[in-house]
Amino acid sequence: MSSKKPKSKTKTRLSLKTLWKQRYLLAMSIPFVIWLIIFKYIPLWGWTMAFQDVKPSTFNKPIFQRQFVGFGNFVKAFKDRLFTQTMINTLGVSIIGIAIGTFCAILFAILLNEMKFLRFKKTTQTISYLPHFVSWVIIASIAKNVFNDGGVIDTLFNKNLHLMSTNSILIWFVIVFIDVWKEVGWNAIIYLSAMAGIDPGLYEAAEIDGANRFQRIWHITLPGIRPTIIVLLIMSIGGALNVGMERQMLLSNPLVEQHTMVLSWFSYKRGIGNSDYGLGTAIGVFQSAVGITLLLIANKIAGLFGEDKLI
Amino acid sequence: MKKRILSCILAGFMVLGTLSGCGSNGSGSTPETGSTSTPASNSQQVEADAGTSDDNSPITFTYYNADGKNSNWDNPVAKAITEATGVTLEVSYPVSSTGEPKEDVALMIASDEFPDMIYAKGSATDLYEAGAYIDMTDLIEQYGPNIKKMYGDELEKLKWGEGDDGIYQLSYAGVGEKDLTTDGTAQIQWAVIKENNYEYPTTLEEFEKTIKDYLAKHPKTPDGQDMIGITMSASDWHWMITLGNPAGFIADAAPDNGQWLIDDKYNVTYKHVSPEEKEYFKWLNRMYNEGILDPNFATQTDDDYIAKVSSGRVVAITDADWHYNPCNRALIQDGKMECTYCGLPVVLRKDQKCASLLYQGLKVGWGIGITKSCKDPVRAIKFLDWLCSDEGQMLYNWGVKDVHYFIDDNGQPYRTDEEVKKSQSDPDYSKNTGMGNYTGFPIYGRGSYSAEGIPYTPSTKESVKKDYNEEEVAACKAWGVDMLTDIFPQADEFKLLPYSALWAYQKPQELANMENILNEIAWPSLVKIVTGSEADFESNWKAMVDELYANGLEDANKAMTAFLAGKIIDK
Repeated sequence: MSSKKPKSKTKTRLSLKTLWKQRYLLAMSIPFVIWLIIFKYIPLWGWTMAFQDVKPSTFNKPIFQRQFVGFGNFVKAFKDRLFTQTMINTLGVSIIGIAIGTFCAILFAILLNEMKFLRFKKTTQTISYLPHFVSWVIIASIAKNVFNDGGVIDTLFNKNLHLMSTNSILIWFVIVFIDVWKEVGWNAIIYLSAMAGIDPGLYEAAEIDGANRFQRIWHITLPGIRPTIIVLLIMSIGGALNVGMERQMLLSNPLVEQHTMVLSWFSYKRGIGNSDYGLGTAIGVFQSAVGITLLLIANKIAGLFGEDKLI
Repeated sequence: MKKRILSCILAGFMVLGTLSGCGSNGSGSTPETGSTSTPASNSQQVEADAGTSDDNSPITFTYYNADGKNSNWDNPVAKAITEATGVTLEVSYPVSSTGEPKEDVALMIASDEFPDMIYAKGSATDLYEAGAYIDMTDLIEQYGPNIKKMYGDELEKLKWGEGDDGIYQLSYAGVGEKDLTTDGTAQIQWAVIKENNYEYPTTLEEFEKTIKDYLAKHPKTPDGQDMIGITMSASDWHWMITLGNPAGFIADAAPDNGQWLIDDKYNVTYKHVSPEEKEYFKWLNRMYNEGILDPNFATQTDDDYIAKVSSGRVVAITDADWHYNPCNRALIQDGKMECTYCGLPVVLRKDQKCASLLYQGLKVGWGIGITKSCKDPVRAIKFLDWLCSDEGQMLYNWGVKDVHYFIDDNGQPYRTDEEVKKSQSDPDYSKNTGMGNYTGFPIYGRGSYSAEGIPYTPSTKESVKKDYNEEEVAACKAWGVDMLTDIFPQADEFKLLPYSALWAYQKPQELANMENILNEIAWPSLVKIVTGSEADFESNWKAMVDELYANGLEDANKAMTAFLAGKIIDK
């Protein structure tokens, strides 16, 4: 991903000879392949629940003794009164999150990268990614103290701003803002490391040619991390529907619930809340199917723009 | 190398998100479990174990307590229980922020591993349908003389119903409970009552006037904070306690049947569409816009609510005593006795009769049950039986003899004033002593006596009167009544109902789902109605009613009526 990546795209043909040549590499990868199969592929067997009527009474029955309902659970999910709004919320909060989140992370990484005073840079970086390790429960209660009606912000402006109690997409932005605050330092790490890989000679040459700081950022730093940005974007678009449930739940309240409900929460609500495990699984399967489709599309588009494809 | 890591991450990523909700699916590969207990196999086990487990050897049971707040088994009462029965309990309780047992129960079902004993509140249906409970009928018959004695005729009510006569749970509620205290339908600070020369409001109109007059005179607390007229806790399930239930109590003057109203012909209807409730919510809406109702009520967390009420800033609340009692205790500890709350029989109109004291019979549906994972059901039932014995009840309700209570010359138990005071003001009292700390344990209700005339609980008519704080004593004197409950319509003014509280019954999943959908609509809609402008009230209300009807309100009414019909006891 870094600039060390060879420019030539000669493809190595798969042959016994190359396999033998790379036998140590292959051997090293075997544990991970096994791990992948056991923990990621075998559990997919559970998807059968999406096509069955699974209630507490049938949960422990062997799989073929449960009633198969075909796509019944999916139809039930799509017809649910919350479904459309949930989809809109999920995509909305996710797209805003990806856009603002990526922008802020890059901006932050550039700011850090331009820092001359090394110790200050390190300290700032450490402080900035600390919130990433704090659980949402704590973040949410801090955030509620700040943004809720009668909270810090309201007191500061001496006015009721209804930041978290307006039943509109305003809450998406509030949630995204809190999320960015929590994750920006962490997300900046990978951009920072990409920047570290840029050849310093380029900067020196640019400086000699009379490029100022902003020109150096614009013409060297940003193009240097472009592949990283593309890869991370593709990945986050693939995960666009996987909006974390706890974040949404903890920052929500009945006034804005209409705009905070997301797919994972919906799946939980219907699956666990109503003890209809089949329906919950169906929503999860749907989420994954859309996720993979989005990923492939994003990958294709990246390819069309002449970028390195991820897969 | 980086590319490889990335592709690894990616591969994981694709699959990761997909698995929410279906993490554990061991069920597919495990062979049919032979351990699925049927009542028959249980009774066989009972006979087999009968000879061996007649001892008090140490045994540890796990107990899941859906109402638990701590897992403390290191207190005098717990130690005494262990000494008498050999049983040590490993208590667990809901860890989710909302205190909902649903998630824990779903996990138990998914893993097919249950605690030995469980009090699951509203999630009992799930456990029942998953076959987690064992039928206690035979066990009680054989090993439960005290259980039989405790429940007496009401043992019948413990049967599951729906064509299953098994007993899967005892009841968490007090047997033979007398209402010696009541929180009424709404509560107001004693300071307010006192200032009004002990005239108390009984209608919503008077309630409003009382609050407004007091606020006008006292806009700030002594320490300079703004007073708040009314506040509520509506951002989690407590909305039912402070927003939903009072609507039924005040507007419909109905007893607590959860989200339902039951008329004389046992027709059940969803309560949030009744014309009386419309009036009530219109009132709340007006209170909100006039600034009497806390502008932050909808978004504050339950912790915020408790803190606010505990600070003495809130003139009036519409709550249940078990929820605001910690606030009262905190207020007493801070020396703000006059800021504690007085329960009032507030109703919407003069011609309505506040149903706070209506006796609903033993609440069934929530209670402790033994699961199929239990290693030794006989010991478990013996343990429960011991708890039901007079000895067990004395211990669990009164504490340890000569430590927490003493016996006077007439053989009557009494507590020292110091102990009484501690029990009222120490928020950790039940955790540290163990008394009443394990909700779900079978108990006798307040005001019930043993055959020898010993009160089972420290609350008797005399003790309740004795425990009245200065404010309450003064009020009784001013009102010229014996007990605070005397200002309420008395229990004998109501017809005895042939059914228990509807909310506690375990309902079949389909019915529960219908109710869930209705509540899911009602909750945000009601909050929206209250916080909307007064001009929008009619349209907001209509929108909610329409949505409720569009989502199966009528079907739910019919299904619930049919369900209740199956529960009515012919007398």
